[in-house]
Amino acid sequence: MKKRILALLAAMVLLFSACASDPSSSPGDVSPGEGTPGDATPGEETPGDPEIVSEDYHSYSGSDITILNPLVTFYSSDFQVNSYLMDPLVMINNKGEIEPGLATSWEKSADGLKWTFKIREGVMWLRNDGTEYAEVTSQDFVDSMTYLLDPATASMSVDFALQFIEGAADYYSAMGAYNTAVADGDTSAVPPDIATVGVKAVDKYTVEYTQTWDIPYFLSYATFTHLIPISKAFVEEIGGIAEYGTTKENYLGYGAYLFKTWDVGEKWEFTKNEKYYLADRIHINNMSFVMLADYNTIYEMFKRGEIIAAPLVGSIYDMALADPEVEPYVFRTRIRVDSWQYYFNVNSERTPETENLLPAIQNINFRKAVFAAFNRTAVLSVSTKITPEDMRRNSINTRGWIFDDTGKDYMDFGNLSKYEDPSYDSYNPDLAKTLIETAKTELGSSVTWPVTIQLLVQSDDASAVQEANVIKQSIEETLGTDNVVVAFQEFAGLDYFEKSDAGAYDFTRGGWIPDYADPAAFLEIYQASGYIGSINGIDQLPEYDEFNSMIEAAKYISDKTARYEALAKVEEYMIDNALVLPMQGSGGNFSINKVINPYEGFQLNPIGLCSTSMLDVIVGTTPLTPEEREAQKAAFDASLAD
Amino acid sequence: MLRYTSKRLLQSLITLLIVASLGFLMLRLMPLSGYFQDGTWNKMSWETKVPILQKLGLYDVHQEPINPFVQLFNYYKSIITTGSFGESTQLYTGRQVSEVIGSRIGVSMGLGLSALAMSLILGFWLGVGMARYKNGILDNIGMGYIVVVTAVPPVVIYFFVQYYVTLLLKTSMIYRSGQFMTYITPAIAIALVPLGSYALWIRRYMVDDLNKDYVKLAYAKGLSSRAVMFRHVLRNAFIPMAYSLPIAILGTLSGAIIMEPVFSVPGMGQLYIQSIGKRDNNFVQAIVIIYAAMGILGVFLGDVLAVIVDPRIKLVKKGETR
Repeated sequence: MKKRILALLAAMVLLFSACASDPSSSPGDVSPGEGTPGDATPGEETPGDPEIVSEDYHSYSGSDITILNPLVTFYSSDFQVNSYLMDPLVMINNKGEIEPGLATSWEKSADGLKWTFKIREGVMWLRNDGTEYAEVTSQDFVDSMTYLLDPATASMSVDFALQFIEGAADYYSAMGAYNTAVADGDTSAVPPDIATVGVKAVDKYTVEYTQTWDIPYFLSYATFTHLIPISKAFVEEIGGIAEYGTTKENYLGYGAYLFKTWDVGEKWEFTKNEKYYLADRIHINNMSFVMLADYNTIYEMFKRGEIIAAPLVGSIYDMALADPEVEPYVFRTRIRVDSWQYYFNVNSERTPETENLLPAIQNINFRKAVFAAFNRTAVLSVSTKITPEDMRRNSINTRGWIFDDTGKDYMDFGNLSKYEDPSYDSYNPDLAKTLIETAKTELGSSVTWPVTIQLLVQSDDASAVQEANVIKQSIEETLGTDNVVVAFQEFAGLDYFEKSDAGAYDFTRGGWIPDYADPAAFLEIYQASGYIGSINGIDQLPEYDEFNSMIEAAKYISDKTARYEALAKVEEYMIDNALVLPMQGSGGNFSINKVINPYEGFQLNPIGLCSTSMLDVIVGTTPLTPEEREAQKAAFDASLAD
Repeated sequence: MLRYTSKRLLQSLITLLIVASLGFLMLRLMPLSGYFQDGTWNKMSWETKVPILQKLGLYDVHQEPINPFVQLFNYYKSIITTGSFGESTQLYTGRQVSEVIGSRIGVSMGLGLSALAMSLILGFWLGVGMARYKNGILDNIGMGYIVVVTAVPPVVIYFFVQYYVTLLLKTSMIYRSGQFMTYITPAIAIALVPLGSYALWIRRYMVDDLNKDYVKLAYAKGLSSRAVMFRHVLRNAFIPMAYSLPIAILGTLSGAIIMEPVFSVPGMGQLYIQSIGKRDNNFVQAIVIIYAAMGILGVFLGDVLAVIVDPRIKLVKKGETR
């Protein structure tokens, strides 16, 4: 079943390429510069400029809200709307810097285990019509954790709390046992005490969290929806946590906007919350979103001025470039930090014929030969027509979102920067030919040549078929069909997923969308316990033990500099020993947008609850000139390089 | 008639039960990972997935899977005891299924009925006109129209209407509640094709019947051609349509599955697609039951209406159902 998810994830890359201007599709967070105790000063926000006038923001959403309760959901539309209605404790901006959210200051205890957040005083819980309910206090954070850690709440994202918050996992199991006992009619059952969990209301405006260990990326986790307040009195008033957020009336917010209209399946409307503590950074007074999925309609509605943003998919891109009225608005989204790799599946479902491939996969030179014969740019060009090489990524992690305490980018550790050389390309036909000969010599008679590599191809997906053909062509042409043959197992619909579940492939693509800012997030999925490693049998490769001991030694290091140094070595080891072939990020799509300052605030933040925040966003009446846009981009890139 | 009706209703109930149960059991064939979308299946640990499976009614309090037939029994039991289709589990989590369906049915029916009325009235007059002036200009134009709307895929017609009619009327390209002008375009879009087929039916029937003996007799009696047309021929032409009219009217409840996404109409057609997409079993089951009930009821009402319109038709013959 998990293998199906692999295939689904692979499909998601393509999907992401398709939803250009969609809001963040994954909850999670990004952060650098975190961890310096008290590195944010309260009241440091830029004072508002009364001259700034923004147009209203009319846009679309591909799917409606499922539920507003931020503790329960994991879906992107729900996170998007929550980001308008409330703030997390801290927020991470475009440049990866931590900004105050509901908390104004924060600090870590000397032993590194406790985080103390000072929250703003006088922030009121608001109903959707703007009437005040009660003040937001630190007790609301404790109550929120009580709901989150009750299995009956059925949170889709509680795992992070179980991993990161002291005592949470034990409390969760005990609560589950208690619920079962109650259901069985055991009246003597006693629920666990929330005091055993690492969350404490120190005083009315101070909340303290205890981590399971000194987690270097904890602050980036604080931008997520677990460390948020919930008003217990309100939840009890509406009849329990299962009712919270089912309608806009059954929800309390304190964020930038009030949820004025939610016409199920049709539209959302928001008006600015004038009482919002950062109101002077909110320039858009009204927002509306219609539910819309057809890209042609979205584009036409943009042209008619009904909405202010549209993705440019397929031929729409050419139409937009050819239209002088639309062309000035064309904008390429940032390539996301998500990371996708190709790798061999040692655990493939094997017939006697394909058994022949197994020793070859375990030979490092064979894997290197296949990777060197794999023309990634050609494969990427199937779904990305314009400059596909921009999408290509030579490392697993990427620049611009993970920094140590001194601000040094993770990619500057170890030798990772060698993968960023623009001329670097793993595709090297000459090297591939040499390597395959070496592999043949080393393998001797244990393998009968040619070996066959099975690809599982979804035959009802035209671009998947095209990609498979490009892969076959590039590998076979380089290595020769007397050495390697690439064969397809083509299935459509459910049959495809069934075969995918059964692991009927030798070589595939998988990846990860991170939830917090840490390089290990992408690397540990390849451990035998990780989500890809537990499927692809990576522990049967001779290089696995070395990799595993390296990452085990690195991933619990609390000091960021030492940690990144060690993780950079792990990443390099994985790439250089052909455990994986780094492929691409997602995003990098073209869209049209009337926002005139796309490089400011939170708009380019690749992931996280605050990534859809409207802070600082300005919608203009006249488009930027290409020069202005270039200048903005250059200024942004320069500020990242600092 | 009463006996026939009760027998038919009993049959209908059994059919409905079989359809609903089959639909229910088929949904249970889906692998569990289907319930966890947006990559949540691989991000969540098993112990945190179980509470969600329990909430979906797939697992019991002891964290064991529940047999699909037991689930089916539980489902019917809860419908009978609570009188509702339960809560949405994935699409509009926590909302009552019947409440959401209720708000959507009105939208679909409003558009569907106006489209049906539009297509019936215009189709009727177009057909009559084409038959009256057979091989004339109107007939040729009408024929051309019918060929085009029948040959072109409906979705192309919808996009065409969406693009040009909204430009002409200067309205939004999509349905927006509270703005009457935006209701017109989707209604026109779904009226165009049935309009053609109604016109074609009326025209063919009238042209055929004009050579029949009873028409010749009527003319021989000295009736005006207007009287022959409307009093005799049209009445006969309407009988076969009587069968399909109840289904067409009830069909508006189900919404237009292709049209609604195009115009972003928050109706039943979209709801059906979305609930399948989100794997919201309670929604899918409720909608399957509603669709099946409508189909069964529509056929039954068609039979009854045919008896009323055509006195020659009898539903019961020697104590047997037709």
